[in-house]
Amino acid sequence: MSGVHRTLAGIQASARSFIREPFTVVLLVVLPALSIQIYGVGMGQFPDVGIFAVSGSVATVGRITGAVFATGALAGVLGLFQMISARHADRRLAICGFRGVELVTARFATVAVASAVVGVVATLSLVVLVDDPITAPIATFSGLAIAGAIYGLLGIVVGSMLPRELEGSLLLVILADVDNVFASGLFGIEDSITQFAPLAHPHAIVTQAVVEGSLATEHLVPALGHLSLFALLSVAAYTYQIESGGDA
Amino acid sequence: MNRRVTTAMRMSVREFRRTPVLLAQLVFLPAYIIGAFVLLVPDVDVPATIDGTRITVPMTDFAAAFMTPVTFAILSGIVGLFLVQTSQAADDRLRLAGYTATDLVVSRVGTLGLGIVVVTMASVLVAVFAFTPESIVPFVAATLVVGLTYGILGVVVGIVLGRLGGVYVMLFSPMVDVLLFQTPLATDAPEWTTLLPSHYATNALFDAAFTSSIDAWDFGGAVVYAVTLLVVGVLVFYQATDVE
Repeated sequence: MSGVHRTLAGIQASARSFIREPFTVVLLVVLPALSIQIYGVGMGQFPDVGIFAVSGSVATVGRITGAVFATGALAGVLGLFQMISARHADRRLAICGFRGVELVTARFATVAVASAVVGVVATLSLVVLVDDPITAPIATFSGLAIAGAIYGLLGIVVGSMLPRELEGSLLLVILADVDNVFASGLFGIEDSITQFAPLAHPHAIVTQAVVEGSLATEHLVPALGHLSLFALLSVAAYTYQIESGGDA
Repeated sequence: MNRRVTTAMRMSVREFRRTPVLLAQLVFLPAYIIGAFVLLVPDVDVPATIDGTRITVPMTDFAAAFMTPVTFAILSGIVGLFLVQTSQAADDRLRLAGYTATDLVVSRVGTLGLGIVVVTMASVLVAVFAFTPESIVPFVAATLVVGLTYGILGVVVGIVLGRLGGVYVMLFSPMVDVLLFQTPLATDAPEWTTLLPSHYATNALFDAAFTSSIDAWDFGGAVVYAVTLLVVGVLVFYQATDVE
């Protein structure tokens, strides 16, 4: 079997195991829209007395934050569970001749497709729910897709290094929650610190796309930098886990 | 408490003890969240509505008080979810071996309670490093009730949903409830948010944090909410472990 066939077989198996739980698929579609609306309502309850360090509509920033959080966190948890649930199967596949990079590609492809679906749902929800028309939906989707991909890879890293569902979930959920608040820019925390939050640059891309209708090129490179970093880390962590017998 | 219950609880505690990564997380993660916010938020005063009165509080104090229930709800919800998920196979065997559903309910709720006490101690210790609540005992009590409420919610979600779906739900629930809708910075909260699980407990917590008065109504409401959820949780758990 060629490398391409092996990777495709892995993608098919991962996708099938995911689709077998229809409720989870439904949650992936429903939660982003729900999150966007609830974040908008949630942020709309604050008085206009400069509590938050944002310019413009706080409700819109809330909806953007809900979209980025939903896309990132859902993809991250999916990546984590993909890695943990497939650990033993992947170890056997490695013995059968699959290479680490093929296996991690297969796992990530499933997460990437799921992230893209969540990204599309989140973009459509933003188009419907944000008051002003969104003139750059592709840029909006791009920011969301990068958020999903970054967290999908982070989920793979956590799932490889801490392959236990409770501990991995706790770590990832807390990281996602804190990252989301930092990335939102709501609390006036210095940019020199918050720029290291993985969701900060995707959040800035989505914000500029929604509010100004343009692509935030100055945030695109750092966002792709985060993506590349987590891609390298995920391959390294995954390869280490496979080579160490899956007990990293 | 009968011997079967204490044995089951001892086994669960032993399992926790054998996973030092989990124990380290339960101590480190509250310190990380609360500490990060206290250190990073700007040193300004913010207007907050506490016990119906608009007062001004330092942002750092507010962050310490506010992030305590947020952290606690997230951690206890996920722990409750996995406690019931991971013990399901063991519970089925224990049931066949003669444990009654009541034995199992008491032992799992007892274990959850122990876990919540550990996380409460860690969270409150970090919080009081950053600021001194006006009424420390009610502050701790209100934190415990938030944890218990979300721990039971985690158990119910764990029984009803699968692991991945359950984590999704417990990832969003505390963020929406506590972080978005129970903040005293808000002045125009929708009426329906009073129905959310942490409403009364977080009101009591902020009263204890920033005023010397204790609102018995909020504490009572929080306890009633937690007990009602506990009854629902026990019924769902009973149903799930009833193999006859």
